[in-house]
Amino acid sequence: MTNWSGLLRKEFRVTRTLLLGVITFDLLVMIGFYLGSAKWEVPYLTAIIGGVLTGLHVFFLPLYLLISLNTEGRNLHLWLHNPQSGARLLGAKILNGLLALLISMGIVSGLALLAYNLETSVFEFPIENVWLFGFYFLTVIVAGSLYMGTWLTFYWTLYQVLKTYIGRWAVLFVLILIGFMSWLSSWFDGTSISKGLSDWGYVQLPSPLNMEVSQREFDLTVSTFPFPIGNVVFDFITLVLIFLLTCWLLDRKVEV
Amino acid sequence: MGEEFNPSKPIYLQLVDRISWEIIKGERKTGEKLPSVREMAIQSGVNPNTVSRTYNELERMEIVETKRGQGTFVTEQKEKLIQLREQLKINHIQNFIEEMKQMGFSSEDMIDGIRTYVTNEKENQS
Amino acid sequence: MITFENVSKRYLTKQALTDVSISIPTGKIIGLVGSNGSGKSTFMKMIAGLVSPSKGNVMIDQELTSRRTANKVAYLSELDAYYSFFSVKETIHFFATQFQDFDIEKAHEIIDFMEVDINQKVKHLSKGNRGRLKIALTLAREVPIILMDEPLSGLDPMVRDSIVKGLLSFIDLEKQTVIITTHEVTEIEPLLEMVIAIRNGKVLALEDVETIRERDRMRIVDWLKKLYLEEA
Repeated sequence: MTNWSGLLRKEFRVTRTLLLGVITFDLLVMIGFYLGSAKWEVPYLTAIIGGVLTGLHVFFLPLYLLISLNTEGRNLHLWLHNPQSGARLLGAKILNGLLALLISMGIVSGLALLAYNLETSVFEFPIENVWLFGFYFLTVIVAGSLYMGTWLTFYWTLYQVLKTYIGRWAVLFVLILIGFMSWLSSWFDGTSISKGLSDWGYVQLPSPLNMEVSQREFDLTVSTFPFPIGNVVFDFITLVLIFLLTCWLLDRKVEV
Repeated sequence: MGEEFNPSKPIYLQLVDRISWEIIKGERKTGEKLPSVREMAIQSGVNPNTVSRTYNELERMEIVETKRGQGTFVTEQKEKLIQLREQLKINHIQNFIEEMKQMGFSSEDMIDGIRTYVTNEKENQS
Repeated sequence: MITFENVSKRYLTKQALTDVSISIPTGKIIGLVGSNGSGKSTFMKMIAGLVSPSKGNVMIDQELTSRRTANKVAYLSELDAYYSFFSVKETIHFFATQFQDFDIEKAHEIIDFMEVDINQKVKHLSKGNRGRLKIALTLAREVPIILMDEPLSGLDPMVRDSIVKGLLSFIDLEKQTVIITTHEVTEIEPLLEMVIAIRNGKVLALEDVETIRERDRMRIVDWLKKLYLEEA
């Protein structure tokens, strides 16, 4: 296990400065808006800014991984001349990125929640359960970030493979492929195969939103919304396959 | 860095010559331990396998003896060293004569030359 | 034993290796010599499994090489090989976690021997000390194959001397094989037991250095020139 923890510690060092920078930025923005909001008198300003900033964290992992991978890209032989599996090399990066994401997102969303509770305006937010809302929101952000991060890792690795053979054209090729893949996935989403694969396993999840108007006559204390588990399973399997493909490329096809 | 070597002769033989020379000059005494292969390799900047080969050759010539687990030692058999000294003398004379011949000197010229040189040197010293 | 079987490597614009077949004996220090762009680096990277052949097989002990061959091969690149944010000590510890055969005491010993300050940040090291660190990281591994791509290039004579001494002090030819590429062939000639001559991606010869001296009465450089002339 020492080689794994060695890798993790190295990854932490690779992006330590980046993380410190992001945390500083988080704090400056949140505190700045909190101090400013006293003057501007916009209701829930800090909480909303915090929410937007938290939402932007969906781009955190892909950007983090891009920076981390490019650091290795400058000295590819150093990263790849290593007996650990590609899954470990990449896994250490993704795990570290997730950790950094959670730290930064935790700071921002925590401060947003604090600002929300400190709010003195009389206007009421249409959210009944702030904690549940926050939980859903953060889950979607983390999942989205992980999804994009995994695809970015795949495209980056593919770029490294192609670079050996077609040089600078590799960038263009990968960009075209990204465009093609997004077209393909939106086309696929409309097909009945996609429906069959992902549109199943509906469960009712508690809704955090205030729905008392429409549901008063049914006397529901907890309102719910339908959610397809199949969607999650499908995306999860896709991600695992993409990750395994990336590992294979890294182990077998990337050259220094 | 290690010393220069003559590019037209195997290094292991050059090392054999060098060590023999050191023994004859008394820089390495009879019964004295030679450096280990690795030490010798580092001292002379030479491949350890080449040094091993040198030691094997010296052993074949019976100038050194390898004692199991202790290392390689200059032989204590005086007659071997006398033989070596004689051999070196003959080698040097051979080289000298060959070069002189190439320059067109006869044997008489050489002997005369040597005699004159030695006489002059003696006079200069006294 | 390292074996190349009909190995070729094609890139988009150039042929790096052409139909190379060679078996490299173990327990020796072997020089890989040839002009710039002759395929030396590609040859080395293939043994390290960092480049795979377009055709043919590269094997170590009958096993095809791949990236994870790193557990049998210590590869010293001609480029920098450390994370600049680490100190020398942290670099050694990181390598020790990654390579099972890494002897951390030996690494410290080599670093001491070469007089590099262990607490310095790698990015603040002089070029010579970075070269020394690279050597230490490579030699500290108890690994059967050591590949050194241009370990001496761009370093002053003092550093080159300490690197050569370090190499002689810390390798074990009963268990290890070393392959070195260098432009300073004459300087390390006494170090080499064999040489592989390579030109335009073709291996011209694998020869015993002492044989070259005895038979051809030449330095490796002159022998290489002769081979190149014969080939041209």
